[in-house]
Amino acid sequence: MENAPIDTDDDFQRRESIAEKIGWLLMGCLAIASLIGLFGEGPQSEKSLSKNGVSITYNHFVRNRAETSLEIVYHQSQSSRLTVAFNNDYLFNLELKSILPKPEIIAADHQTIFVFPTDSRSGEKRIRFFFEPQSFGRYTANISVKEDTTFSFDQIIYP
Amino acid sequence: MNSVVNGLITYGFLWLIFRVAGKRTLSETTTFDFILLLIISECVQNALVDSDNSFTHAALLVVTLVGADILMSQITSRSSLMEKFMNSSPAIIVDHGNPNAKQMKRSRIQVADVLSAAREKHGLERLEQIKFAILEQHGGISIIPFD
Repeated sequence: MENAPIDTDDDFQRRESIAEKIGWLLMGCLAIASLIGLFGEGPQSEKSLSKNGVSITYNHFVRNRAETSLEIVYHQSQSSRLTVAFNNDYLFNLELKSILPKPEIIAADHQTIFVFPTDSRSGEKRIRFFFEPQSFGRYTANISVKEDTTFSFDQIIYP
Repeated sequence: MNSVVNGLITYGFLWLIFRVAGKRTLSETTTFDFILLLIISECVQNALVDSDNSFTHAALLVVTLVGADILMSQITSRSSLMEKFMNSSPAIIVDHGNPNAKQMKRSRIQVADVLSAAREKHGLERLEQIKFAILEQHGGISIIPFD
């Protein structure tokens, strides 16, 4: 260019343009990954485990300081108390916000046991734990329901 | 430690996003661009402050962010390569009245944007009156008219 007031560098501009487009593509992939639940709440994140008539639904991917929930569904056939025990290694990374219905809480050696009162009506019952992760990383939950049914799963908590 | 780490990561992440978005995103040319910047600041605020509302945390964050900015300016002033990498470089988009179509397409600029800058800064009416139009690093358009 004749008497250009700046140093033009077409090669740099071209490479910069390519890098920008790659960046846009990555941003698009991030948005799609989020929509499908790879960063929490979505089809790829919501998981369900079933055993002995008990099922647990939880989010495999969660985010630090973002509230999430865990639901336990079981069939109550007679009036008896239901216990749900969590390993303390898992619970210590969470802040329990609320539990529905409200249980009695017992601390044991490496576990925290939640005892839920039951009524005389038989049928499907639900329990919901609402909690907020307090640190990020990969954590393993070991949950025992009714003392004879144990579930084990991993959760990935993003920073 | 969290204050410094969060501050640096947020600063670096925002630099990367705006660097990839291109020069024009920084220039606030449209209402939407302006709104975008307002919303981004709100999004980032929660991640930076979290639940720590102490003065100490705020002061540490400010020191970290300003420090990072000073460090960036020191690095870019010592190396033209780093300057280009971190801040991009200006580009000529109109040369002696002729628009550089390839450059304008890369930069997502229309002829109307150039004419708007020309009217605003120099009261020019046509491209033929423009010797050079340069897209600056900050996303603004500089106009050098013919003498």
